[in-house]
Amino acid sequence: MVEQTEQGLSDQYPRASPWPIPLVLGLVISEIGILFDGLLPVAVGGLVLLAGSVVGILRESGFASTLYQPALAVGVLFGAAGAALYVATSATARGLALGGTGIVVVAAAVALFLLETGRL
Amino acid sequence: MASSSLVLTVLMGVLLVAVAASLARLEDWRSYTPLSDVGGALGERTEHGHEEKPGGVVRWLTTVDHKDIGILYGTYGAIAFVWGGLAVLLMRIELAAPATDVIGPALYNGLLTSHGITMLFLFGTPMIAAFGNYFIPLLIGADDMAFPRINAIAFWLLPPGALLVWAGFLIPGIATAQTSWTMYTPLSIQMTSPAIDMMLLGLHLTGVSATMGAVNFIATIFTERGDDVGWPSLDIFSWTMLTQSGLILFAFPLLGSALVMLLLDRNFGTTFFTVAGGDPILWQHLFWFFGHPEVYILVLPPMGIVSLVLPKFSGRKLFGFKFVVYSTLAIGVLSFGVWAHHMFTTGIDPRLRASFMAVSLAIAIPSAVKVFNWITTMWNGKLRLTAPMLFCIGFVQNFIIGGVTGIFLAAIPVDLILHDTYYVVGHFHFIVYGAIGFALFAGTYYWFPMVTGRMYQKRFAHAHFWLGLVGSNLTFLAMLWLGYGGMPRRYATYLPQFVTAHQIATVGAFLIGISTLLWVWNMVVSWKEGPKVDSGDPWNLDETGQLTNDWEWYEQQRDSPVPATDGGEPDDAQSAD
Repeated sequence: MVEQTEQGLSDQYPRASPWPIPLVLGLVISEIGILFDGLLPVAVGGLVLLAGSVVGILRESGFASTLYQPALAVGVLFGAAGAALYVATSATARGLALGGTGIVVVAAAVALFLLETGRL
Repeated sequence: MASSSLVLTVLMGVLLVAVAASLARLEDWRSYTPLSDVGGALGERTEHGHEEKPGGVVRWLTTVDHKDIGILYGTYGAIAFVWGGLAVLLMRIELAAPATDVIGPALYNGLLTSHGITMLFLFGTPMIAAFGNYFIPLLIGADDMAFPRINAIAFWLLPPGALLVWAGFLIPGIATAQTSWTMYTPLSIQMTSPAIDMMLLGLHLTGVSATMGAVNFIATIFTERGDDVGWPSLDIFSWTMLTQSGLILFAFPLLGSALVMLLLDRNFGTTFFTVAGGDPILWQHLFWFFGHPEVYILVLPPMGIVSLVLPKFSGRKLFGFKFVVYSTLAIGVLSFGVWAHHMFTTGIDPRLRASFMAVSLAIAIPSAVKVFNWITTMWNGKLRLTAPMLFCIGFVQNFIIGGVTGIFLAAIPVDLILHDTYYVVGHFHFIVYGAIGFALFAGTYYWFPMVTGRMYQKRFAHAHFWLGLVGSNLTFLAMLWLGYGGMPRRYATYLPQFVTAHQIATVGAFLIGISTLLWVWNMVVSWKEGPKVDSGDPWNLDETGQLTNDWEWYEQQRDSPVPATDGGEPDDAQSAD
């Protein structure tokens, strides 16, 4: 790698990443879907987008070396939050949306595991 | 119900597929290489040893470069400024006569709410982030922000945040949010419009954005400084950005939590701030614990810009640099101990009031230290009255009036009389437009040659300054006068006795509006066709030994053989001043 002394190290970083906008869209859409009544499909869509983008950007930036590990972590987190909401509060539909998304993401993590370890 | 759910499900499915398809076009998801090698999304390695950015719109949608993100922040801030400005011009037209002649009270209240929130959260904070993003890495010899992707995420949270804040105006059939920017309970719980929920969500997003930005600035200034930039040689703008980021780190998460509590009260039956079961005053405590530091979040970096720019055109180094830094830090600490001065009339314990009065008055000391240092820097200096310098001097003038009126308001007996009058409005507008706005304008003119490689049109810039200065003083002095007369704030109508002062304020507001149009015109036209600057030091800073790292970087950029991006027009250079 050619060093540019006056520019410094991060010149070697990629100057573009496609993930910030999907991640933000996921966050915004899931917030709207969870807050307003009757928008559960929006909540699920937003959460799936958020989960996917978090996994994508972690992998892209080198904070994760595989896709399935962060996917599993996000899925479990969503699932646990959804379960807590479902059990402990009366926001059952929102809990279901969060928990359901968690299950979908965990399933995706399993598929990614099979894919990335060459089992598929 | 079922059919609408089906439609929503299909729509979300389409969205997800569309996002996945666009990502697949941009990226091969499974081809990432570790950071040690270059894994650029679309970049190609060049002989210059860095990534080339993708072209066209994709560049702006995918960029994580601090300079690009700075420009995005600036463009976004300018658009928000126009929105907030148009809102207030409509309000000022309404206030040209005592009765409701042009717009009704409901629209007036909606515009008032939108103006306040837009100017503070969607213009002020992002515009400061624009300068921080573009220039902090250059000033401290870093190559980029510490977390470039978080930087991009922080910016992209803002456009949806703005759309949500403005939702009441954009979605037909729903009432606008009419809570004022302070969103005082129980009013903000009892108003039913979904526009309020969307505004709260939007504010939450802008808060998350500001916090991410603050983390990034702190990490960048602590860890990414060049070898030659130690703490003693850190420039004054970086010091103010560092302090501001610290304030954001403590203030904005609290706003986020309070907003969530308010949303829960509105939608899920909790009683944090309700009259029955909760405490409406709790909202004021939480809000102003964020809200007053927010004032310093907004004013410290512009003070940093003035402290940086003013000496450059005074031919002298900043007088008492150390004490300007100390006063910045002192303001940062004290800013968390003054919030209840917004609540002197709410019936809180008088002993508490006295202590908050003392701290509020004490904050005048570090503020005055700065003012005296700026004046002393200019004293016997070799002043060059360029546009950035004029705006710096205008900043000092407006800040003195805004600051002194603030000292009066900090005194309990005075505040009990002037609370909720136009005096307060005049006071804080001297600060937020007269000071903060002027410093930001100074920044845009000062760094214009660096960002664009061209020079702005001097005549327009000076007209901008003089119209803005006369306009701001007309408007805000008239407001102080109205306040002394007892005119309460936030009303679309008023008694006939206030008509003269209101009309003066309206004329002043239009002068400000015209001056801003000149600025927008100047920025756009000069960026496209302004004369190219003929050196890497267009302000002749080297003469007085004040060439900072950012201009040195610019000089290197001009010298390095990077490919021309604009077709390489022939130079028609002119001197800076």
